[in-house]
Amino acid sequence: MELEKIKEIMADSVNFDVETITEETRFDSMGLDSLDIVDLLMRVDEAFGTQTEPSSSLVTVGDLIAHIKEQTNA
Amino acid sequence: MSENPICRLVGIEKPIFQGGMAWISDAKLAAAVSNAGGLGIISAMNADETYVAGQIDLVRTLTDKPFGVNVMLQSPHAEGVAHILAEKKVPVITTGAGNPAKFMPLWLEAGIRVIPVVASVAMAKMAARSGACAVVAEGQESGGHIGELTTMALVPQVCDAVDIPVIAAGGIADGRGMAAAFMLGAKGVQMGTAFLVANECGVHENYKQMVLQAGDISTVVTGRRFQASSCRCIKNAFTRDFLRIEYEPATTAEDVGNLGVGALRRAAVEGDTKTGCFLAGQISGLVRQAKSVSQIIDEVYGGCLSLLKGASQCL
Repeated sequence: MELEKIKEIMADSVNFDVETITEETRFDSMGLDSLDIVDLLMRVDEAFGTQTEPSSSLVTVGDLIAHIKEQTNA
Repeated sequence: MSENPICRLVGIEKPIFQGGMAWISDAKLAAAVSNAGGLGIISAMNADETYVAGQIDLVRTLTDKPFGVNVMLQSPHAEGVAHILAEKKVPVITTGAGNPAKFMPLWLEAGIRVIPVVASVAMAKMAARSGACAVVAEGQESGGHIGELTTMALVPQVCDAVDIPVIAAGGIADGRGMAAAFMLGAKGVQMGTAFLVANECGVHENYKQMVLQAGDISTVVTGRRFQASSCRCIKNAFTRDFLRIEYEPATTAEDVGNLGVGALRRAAVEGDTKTGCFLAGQISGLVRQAKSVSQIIDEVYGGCLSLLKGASQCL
């Protein structure tokens, strides 16, 4: 569920080809700059009611999903 | 005191901040700006805690007005500097080059007003939820490290997105720019380039001359090829070499990072017009004359007031 929502957000915010995104996809392979990452995280937070700061521990989409689950206790 | 929300928030008379410029914004310049009714800001740049503590002690001997310190969050000394600022309870902190969330509890606990510099709506929202009392929305017309959006596009979007006051920066050096910023929704302005040539600014005379002689197309952005390193500076031999190397196919992000090492110091301290990197904004062409800080502030503020009073006549 989280992955599908993140894909939807990325499609909306950066017109990304979301079909290529999996939990293993690394953010640094997506061609996003630091402002894109902040924008993505803010949109994710607004969608899930979470609070996420840019962090070196958020390497893959899976890391972000794990963070969302932790904050929402899902 | 003015009814302006920025003035009330930080205890100043005129809603004009002086940008934290590395190697330029020292205690002497900051004190002059604060004494003239604006908010002077010391740049902590990449310096260590001892330097920053010394500058804070010095500014307090030069003014009893509020002042700020700008923290570059990517500095290797950011952690130590963050603690010194809390210990010394500086009135205002502005931040650049990142997200200050990590230090916010420490600074807020010390009663400090924190005002991050942001380059996008999402950065502004993150700052607001962390407890920032205002944000500086800085357009890419500014000198130094910049984002992508222009002041004209960024400021109204940030104003709509957050419920804290917004200070506009980038491309402002006179009353017209300040009035325009207010019409975009800003409650104050931050200026860097305009103060760079102030009599009280201790930057090398050659740096001032570079700005005074600059025209509308005199600046260029280096570092755009690699993300997060875009930097606006005045065109010279340094920028021509930099850009040539930057776009050579074999050049890496690390190479580009190394190209800039020491270049700002060579400009600001040594006045080396060939190998120095002279950070300055696109508004340099409007900055034609060296003046005192109080003249700069009075002219910008006075110009803004008279323009806004007559604004209805524009229609």
